[in-house]
Amino acid sequence: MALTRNKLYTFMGIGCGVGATWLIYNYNSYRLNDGFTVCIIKNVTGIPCPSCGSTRAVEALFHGNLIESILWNPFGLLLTSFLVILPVWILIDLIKKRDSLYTFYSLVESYLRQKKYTIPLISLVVANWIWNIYKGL
Amino acid sequence: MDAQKVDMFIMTNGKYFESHHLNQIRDRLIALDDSKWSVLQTLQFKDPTTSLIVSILGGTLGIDRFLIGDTGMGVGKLLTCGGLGIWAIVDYFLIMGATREKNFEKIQQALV
Repeated sequence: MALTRNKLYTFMGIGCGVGATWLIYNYNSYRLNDGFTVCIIKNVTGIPCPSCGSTRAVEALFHGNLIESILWNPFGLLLTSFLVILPVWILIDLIKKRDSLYTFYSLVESYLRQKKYTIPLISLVVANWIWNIYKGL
Repeated sequence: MDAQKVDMFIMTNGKYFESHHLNQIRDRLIALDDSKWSVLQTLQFKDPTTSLIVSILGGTLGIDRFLIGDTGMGVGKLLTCGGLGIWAIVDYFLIMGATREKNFEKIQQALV
């Protein structure tokens, strides 16, 4: 079963739903460092993973603190834009019966497979990871 | 193509495909011209066991998904800490099947 349009949209929809639920659950407690984390890497090794702190970053953004959000984790900005754009795009596609998001997804995937994009992006992720460890999230 | 050749191919490469695809692959290979045999021999498939190992070790970073060519999903896993850890665990069970599906897509593209 290859990834079809409907499957991709269902999957993204569920992802956004779970993400939104997770954010509402953490809405007020995001600054408390109560030691609760779902991250497997952090739980096993004690070292934060590249995306640790992105919940806090997104929450900080929703509270209006842009600088704080970037300091927590720049991935938060990316995740917020996904969380805001994807549901709207999916809805528009479903209503108009088009597959523009699916085409766009395939296009981005084909770009990401090229070395000239892959290597800088991986370096960015690794740099962010080092920063995360340095910050001790 | 010679049935014996096809059966040999299926025997050596059977582990790379879902069992319900094998009959379909066999039929298509038998109907195929002999000149495609060299193309078929040079195809490289991803080993499901390898992707399972990668999934267990680097699943939260999405490396397993990158490995089999699901770049978009890989990015999704990487950015969300393995889908809050849940997707990473679900993928321990799905990744072998997903690898076999990818191999099937690959052989289909090569034989067109």
